Amino acid sequence: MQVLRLVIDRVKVIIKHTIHFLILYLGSTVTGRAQDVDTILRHRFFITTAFNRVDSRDEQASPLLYYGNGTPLGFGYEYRGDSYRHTLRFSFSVSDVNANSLQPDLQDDPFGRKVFFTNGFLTYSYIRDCAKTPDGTLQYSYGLAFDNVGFLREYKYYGGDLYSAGGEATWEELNMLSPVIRVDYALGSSQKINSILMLPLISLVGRPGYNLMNTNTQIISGNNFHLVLLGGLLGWNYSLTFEQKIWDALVVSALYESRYYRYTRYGWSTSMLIQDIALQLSWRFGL
Amino acid sequence: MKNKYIYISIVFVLSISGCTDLLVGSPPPTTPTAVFDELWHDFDQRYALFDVYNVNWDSLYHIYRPHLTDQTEDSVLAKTIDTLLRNLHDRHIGFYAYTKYKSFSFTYGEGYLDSAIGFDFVKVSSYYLRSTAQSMGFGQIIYGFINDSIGYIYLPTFTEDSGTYGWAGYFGAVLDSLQSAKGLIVDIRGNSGGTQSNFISISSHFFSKTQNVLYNQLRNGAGHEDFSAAEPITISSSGKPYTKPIVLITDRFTVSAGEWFTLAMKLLPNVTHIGDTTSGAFSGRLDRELGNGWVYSMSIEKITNTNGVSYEGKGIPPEITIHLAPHYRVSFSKDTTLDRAIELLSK
Repeated sequence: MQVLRLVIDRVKVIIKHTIHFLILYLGSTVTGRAQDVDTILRHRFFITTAFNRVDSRDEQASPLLYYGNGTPLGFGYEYRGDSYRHTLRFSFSVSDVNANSLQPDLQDDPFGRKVFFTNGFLTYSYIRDCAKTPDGTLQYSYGLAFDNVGFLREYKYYGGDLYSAGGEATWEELNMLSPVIRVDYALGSSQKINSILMLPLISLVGRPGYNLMNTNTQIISGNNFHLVLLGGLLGWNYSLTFEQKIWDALVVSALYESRYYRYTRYGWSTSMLIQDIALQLSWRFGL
Repeated sequence: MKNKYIYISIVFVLSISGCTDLLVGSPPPTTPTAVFDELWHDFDQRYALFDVYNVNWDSLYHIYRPHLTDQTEDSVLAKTIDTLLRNLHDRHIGFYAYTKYKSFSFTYGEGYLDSAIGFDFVKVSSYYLRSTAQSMGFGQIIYGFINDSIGYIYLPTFTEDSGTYGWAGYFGAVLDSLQSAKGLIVDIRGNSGGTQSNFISISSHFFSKTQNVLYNQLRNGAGHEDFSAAEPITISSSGKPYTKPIVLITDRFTVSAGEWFTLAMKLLPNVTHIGDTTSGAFSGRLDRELGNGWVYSMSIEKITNTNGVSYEGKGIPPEITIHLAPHYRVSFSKDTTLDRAIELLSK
């Protein structure tokens, strides 16, 4: 009972903080119009390097909770209009992971098992500015994103040879249409903070069939893809970015990014929590 | 406002970081009863061949589960699970456990193979192929000439690893080098099975047109009778099919993809199948792990030939049976089955 109470308390705290956070995002009615260097140097290319932690469990493949670290690489492009922005981002990571239950880690596993996670993200978002505080320091925006996640888990139980038999693989392909809310806060003339939150509204979710042995045709057939409405796929894509302008054309950013997804089918849940600490270099230019 | 915004952002980030267990889940229970229940339940939900081996899975639970408590030692738990799985005489089941002191590896079904291992490749190489013996495809394809008119290929496996990846791609070159022979012996005695892609790749060199060679049905639901519709496994021609007479040799240890290959080759009019009945383990194998890290495998599909006949648990009988009784001992210079194959191709 104590554990249950502890869990409930933690949930309450999370809900409380989340609600406060959302209220802050949505609460302003002040309007304004950005007219700074962003709207002169409208184009921005960026490259991101990161260190991440992936926690995941796919009950369809294994009861064990796996965690690991990867070093994702990402890149993207953003176009800043007078009151809107188009952003396209891609990132990719391979993680070599351990099972939490196998202590101290899989290096001591008598079977020499090895588990790999591979994940890739492709996100396009369109965001419109909607409100700004009178002093111009706080900018609220909203929009829509097409957020895609590919996640592959490769479990090799008898030695770490990726080409050998003896193991299994599971995957999910999440294609989400997500409302986006963004807040920009100007700390000074050269520093900014922004937060972006995406929550999946409608999703096309791809997963393996009931048993995991799929022929190639079954993997790509429509049988493995399901339209999922709000709540069927729980999750978020959140980022908190600190930007430091070096020159007008060059911006260095430090980011915290978090993605969480949970989906249940056949009574088996799959969940992943991916957290990145990243460094981003952006080059801005006008045409 | 500025401070509040930063504060809330930091709290949000820390909330996510601190709640991994809540979001992704906590480690599974590892008590002996929980581990046993998990394995039993997993077989109940996924295993495809209860009817083939005529097993009442529910009743087995009530027989074995009462022997366990949460104080049961791991070695006793491993033995109990092993005893449970022995009721399924299925070569695709494996169970690999470990305790603090010892590892256990259990395999199933071989006790039901009433045959000796009558094949010794060293002998075949020394006395039948002699100086013509060669290998290709990272040692996975062994071949040569029995005499000027009879070629010989030995395929010990259809599997691969990083050291042998892509070996099946060399099979066409092997066949080319044996084109001067009037007939071919394809020996898959003891073939340990392997991947579907290697089976398809090797088979494609014997088919002159695209053809369905077998059907599979994947278990796809919680009920023991829940299966997908039968889907064909198709072989396309490599474009340069081998159409001369072939004798295919199998034994009781030819298993899995080796048996798929046997089913496919038996469709060809130029193939004569001799030797002993195959193992009778056709299903695709699913490997899984338990909450305490132990690993096991199981069959999750049903395979039939193109007429809908299943040989699961029975094996494919050859046209000409040469059975080697369990007490049979391989003599140093004589391979009874191979001699019969040579005789057939010499006619």
